[in-house]
Amino acid sequence: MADHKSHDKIYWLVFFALLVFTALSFGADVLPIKEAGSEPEPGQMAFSTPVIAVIVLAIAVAKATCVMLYFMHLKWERGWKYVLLAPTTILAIGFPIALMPDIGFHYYHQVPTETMIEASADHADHADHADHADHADHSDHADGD
Amino acid sequence: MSHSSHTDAAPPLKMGLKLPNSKLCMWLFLGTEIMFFTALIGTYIVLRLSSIDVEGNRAWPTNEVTHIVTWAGALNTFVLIFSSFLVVKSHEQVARGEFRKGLLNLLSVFVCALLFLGIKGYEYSGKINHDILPGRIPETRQQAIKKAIDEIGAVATLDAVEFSTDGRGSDIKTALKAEHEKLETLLRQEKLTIEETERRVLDLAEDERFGEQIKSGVQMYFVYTVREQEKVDTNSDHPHSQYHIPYGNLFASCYFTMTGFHAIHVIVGLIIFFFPIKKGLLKGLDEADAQYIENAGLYWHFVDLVWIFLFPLIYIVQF
Repeated sequence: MADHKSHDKIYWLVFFALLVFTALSFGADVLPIKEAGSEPEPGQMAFSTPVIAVIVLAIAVAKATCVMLYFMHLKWERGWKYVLLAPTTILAIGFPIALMPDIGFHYYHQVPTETMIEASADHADHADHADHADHADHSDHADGD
Repeated sequence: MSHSSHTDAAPPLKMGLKLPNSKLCMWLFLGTEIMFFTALIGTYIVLRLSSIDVEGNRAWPTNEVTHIVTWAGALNTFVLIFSSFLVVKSHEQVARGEFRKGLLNLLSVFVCALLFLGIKGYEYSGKINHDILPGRIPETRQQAIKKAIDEIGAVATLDAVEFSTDGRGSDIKTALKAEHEKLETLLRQEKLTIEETERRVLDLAEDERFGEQIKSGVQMYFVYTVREQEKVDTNSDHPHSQYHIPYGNLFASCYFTMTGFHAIHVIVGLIIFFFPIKKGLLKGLDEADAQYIENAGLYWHFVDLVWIFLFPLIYIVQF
């Protein structure tokens, strides 16, 4: 316990780091999203959703590392931490990988379910709507006048 | 075990790992907890990635449609991080002998946990108001039509006095029941489109006999009026743009399972922190409590860790 005094400063630093990380991930939410298949206008930044996902999850991993190393004292613990955490980490990562082939990859998606059809119909409506958006705007103004 | 250890006054042999048993137990427990929550999160990611439309595009409902409140999630992230920091401070202060300061920080942690649950409750109430609940969300147009008709049927089972207090109540009820049966027949004959159902719901809502009850009891009417007020197009991503949400139930199940189990852990955290706070207020803390607070802190940091991953995965990421 003698070394605890020296941790004071580290705890404050970690706390501020976590605050900054949280602000960054909240900021990622308002980043302009690039629509699939469309080019952004020149001079305008836009990020595709996988890029935002990677940024945000990387921030989450950084935050988790900060909490585990400093708040949970793992940085200062002895070798038992590896023995204790290795199996649980392997199982935790293995589980979603084991599910992926069956659920994640839709091999038979050419034989769609009802929900898939409804989702597609919305998508098609949306695209159709985008084409006519200009026209609709003008007619709205005409009505207003 | 050498011979000399029996004869000499050697220090007693320390068995096991060089950490307190209670802390080892807490870490082993956290090991099981890590597997529990990664299983939930892993399943969620796989299910979300597999929610596609016929062209293979991702079709998970957007935040707007599911009424996800990003600022509330971000605020809760801050509350938990701040409380984690307070636990660390408290542990350090109690180990150092600053018991009053340590107790004060523990009390602040307790308040933070309550605040977290309050914000969570606000989010949940929004979901409940919009009927974003597992199994309750229509995912296709046909289900949306069925839901509207069932809700009209439910209104027709209200007590007669709900419709009128001057004795006409049961007549009104019978009339509404007849309307409901008419709609059910049309549904069976597959004559109802979403537009037709909408028109009939609006007609019933205009009826002076049972209009008010229909307005408050049928969600289709609520969605319709908000959509008209806000002038949103039926093809936009607006929450009130349509009556059905593809993959909505899967979303609701994932959302409530993950955030619900996390909230239960926050409640357990409240119980864990209650005991040292009670002791501190009644008798005062002492050095021996530092170990309990460290263990409680480990648990609390884990609760924080889970939220650190849930926040981006539920509120921000769109994959």
